Amino acid sequence: MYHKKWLKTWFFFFTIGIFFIAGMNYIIDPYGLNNKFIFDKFNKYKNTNTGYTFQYKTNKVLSGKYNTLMLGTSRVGAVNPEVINPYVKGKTFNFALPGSVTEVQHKVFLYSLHYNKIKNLVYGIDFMSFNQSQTVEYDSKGFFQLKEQIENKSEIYNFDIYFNWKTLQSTIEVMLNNLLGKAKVMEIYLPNGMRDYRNHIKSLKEGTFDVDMSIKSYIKTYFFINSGVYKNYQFSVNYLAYFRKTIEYCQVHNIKVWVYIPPMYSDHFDAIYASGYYDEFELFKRELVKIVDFMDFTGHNSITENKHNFWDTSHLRKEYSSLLMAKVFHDNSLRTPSDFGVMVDEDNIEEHLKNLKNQLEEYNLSKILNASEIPKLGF
Amino acid sequence: MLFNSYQFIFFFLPITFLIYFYLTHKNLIKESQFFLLLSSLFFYSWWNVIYLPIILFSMFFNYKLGIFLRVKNTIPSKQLLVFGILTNLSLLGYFKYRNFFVENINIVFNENIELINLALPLAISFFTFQQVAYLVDSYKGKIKENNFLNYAIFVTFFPQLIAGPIVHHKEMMHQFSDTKNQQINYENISKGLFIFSIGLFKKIAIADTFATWATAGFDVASTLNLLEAWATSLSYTFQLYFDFSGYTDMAIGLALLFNIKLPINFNSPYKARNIQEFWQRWHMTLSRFLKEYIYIPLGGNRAGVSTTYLNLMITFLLAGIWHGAGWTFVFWGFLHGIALVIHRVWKNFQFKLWFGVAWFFTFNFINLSWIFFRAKEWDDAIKVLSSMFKLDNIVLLPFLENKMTFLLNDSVTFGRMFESINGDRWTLIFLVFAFIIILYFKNSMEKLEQFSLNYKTLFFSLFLFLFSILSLNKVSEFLYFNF
Repeated sequence: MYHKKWLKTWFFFFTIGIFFIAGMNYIIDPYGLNNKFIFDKFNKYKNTNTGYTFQYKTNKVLSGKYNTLMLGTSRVGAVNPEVINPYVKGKTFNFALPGSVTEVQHKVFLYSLHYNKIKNLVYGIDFMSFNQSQTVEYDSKGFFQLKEQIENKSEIYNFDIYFNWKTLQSTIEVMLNNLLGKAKVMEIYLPNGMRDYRNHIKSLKEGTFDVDMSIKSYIKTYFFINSGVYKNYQFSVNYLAYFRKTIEYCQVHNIKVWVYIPPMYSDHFDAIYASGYYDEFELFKRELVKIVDFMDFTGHNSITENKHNFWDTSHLRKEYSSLLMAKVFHDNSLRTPSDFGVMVDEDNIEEHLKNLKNQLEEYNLSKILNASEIPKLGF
Repeated sequence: MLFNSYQFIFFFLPITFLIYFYLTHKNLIKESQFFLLLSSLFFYSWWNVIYLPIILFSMFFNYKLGIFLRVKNTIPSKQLLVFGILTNLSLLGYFKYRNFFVENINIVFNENIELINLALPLAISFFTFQQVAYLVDSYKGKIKENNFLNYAIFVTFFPQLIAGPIVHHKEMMHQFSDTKNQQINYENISKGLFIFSIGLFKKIAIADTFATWATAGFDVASTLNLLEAWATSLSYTFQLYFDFSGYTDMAIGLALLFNIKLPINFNSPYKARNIQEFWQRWHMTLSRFLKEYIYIPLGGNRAGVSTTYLNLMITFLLAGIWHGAGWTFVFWGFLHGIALVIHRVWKNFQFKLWFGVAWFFTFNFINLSWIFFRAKEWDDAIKVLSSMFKLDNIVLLPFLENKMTFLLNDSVTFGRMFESINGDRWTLIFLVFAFIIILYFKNSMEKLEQFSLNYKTLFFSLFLFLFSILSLNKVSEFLYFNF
């Protein structure tokens, strides 16, 4: 063989290979990014797109049709943005990012503003978003990969996902599972940014959903000492400054803001105390109220004490989105439990914190963290 | 711009290659060289254009000074040389070591001098070294060539600009002016593509996989159990090798596309059976520089045993600080200096160890010393190191529980083995796989030497390249960009 022939053959197979793989990935579309070709036997049931949160959401927000933005962690992600639309007389995009810190939230907020005429911000702010030990580089890798583009407000496209080995694996998996009738329903992001737990909804209908195991797994995921979401919790002044910047930006640019601390299953609230982070948890609220009044849904109340209102310790089921937003938007037309959500300002913060502390119940955290049969989930 | 990015592979490289050879084909040699220089400067400026004046200043200054050193002047050459070296070291010192120096002043004298928020110009350690060597050789009268374009390409040639290999002017400058190298050479392109594919795969498929566990172990986890600590240190040991040797393979491959041969930089270093052999196989162009421009000028081994030991220590302390402005780097250099001294003593007494034992000690010393090289803080290094030798916290896989109940006590538990570093059974598989590669496989340079035109090499490199390209969306920087 001559060098020229070797090279020609190399480039020939490379071109064929790369376009074949990208073509297959585009047509089968295992993450439902384009939904252009749907074949019942091959790709009706897709894999989850939650592995590409940043790319998916930044790309969707480019459409420019939204006047309202939802920010926060995955607790906000489970909230249906459609219920907000009547309050804001427009369209809402749920730009919640799992486990995100306020720096990331601030930057995607500015990115969204660049492409949309945002007039309202519904901000579900979380304790985990102020953890100094959560770094952008390590804990928000999806954002970190796109950081430069997000900061420069460059348009973000999904084409590279088609030129990807992992996508090819998913393509083959989706095809085989659809062909053999073994495809599973998976949770996905909807085009409006909401995280749709259709997998859990299906399991619930089939009677196979194990809420207790789900709760324990999430407790482990949050509180595991080395790699949990709350790992080595230290309240970050730097992250607080990012939150302040977002609120101040809204005030200067006439963007209406609603801030709330999302509800969590009461075990999670008790586990914060058991883990020794409660002082930081209170500090977080004290610092927050210096910047803005907020509605606090944490603690023990008629919604948070019922585990069947949640998919796990953090994510409220979709049917409670209306209730939650009715409280946030002070909508009295909807009957809501009076103990669900407390409006907090600088005058009542201390009394509110005292009330919450009185609600704390004993919780055996170490038993869950050390149980090897409970898996720790990845975000 | 990174070698492992879409921009580089699909735009910068093909465009530069085609225009360069179009110009040489049209016999526009000066223009082609000028174009190569501009492309390299563009490549360099891609990260941050503010770095550009620094490298330009350094290049013009050293070129002019080199000429002055070669002609008779009213100023004595030695003073000019000292001036040149000091200017280079001041530039490096200001950008790389100023804050380190100030931090230490603040600690020792309880001062509060403000640190400057300085971005370290990329590759400053590399181009400074290369040009200091150029000045020294100009002073010694070893340089005859005065062509500025060749010199400028020697300093900025994009395949080796950012992280080496550290090239010597005498092996590079004549290659840029050789007319044979200005024609497309399909043999070099095939070889270049072959070795580039191997390097790309090493970086993307192997180094970046180990990086996840190493980063979690060093930077994130606050405590580690025994196996996690070993997995952390070994992951970094392999990450560093596959990352840096992968980068070097890519650099050698890219240079070959332009008919330029770069020196070999790695020769299976983890096969070494003593520390001296390790340094003959690891970052060989740095070892060459340290030997020729530090160790030998200090007197080498010509001035008695104790002076030889002192020279070794000085050379490796400088090697440590060259890698980074921090005491952990100095300590890493100190460890290697001490190890080389012990090796000399050992050799003088003509002691010998069995092959396997010698390898075991050498590899473990290197693995342990990398902990100080990697750790951002002393505490991180101590965390990993102490956990590697603590027997009171061992976690084994759950499936062993029934078979090994006799082990069950306060020190040994069964659960997820690498949980704190986000690892799983793949961590173990990758570590075993890496040991097999470094010990039993030929290295990429040996593969390149044996390269022949057949379907085996074609599909081998095609698979590596395709796999790497299809894994590119997680673009990550090379470790040696930090040095």
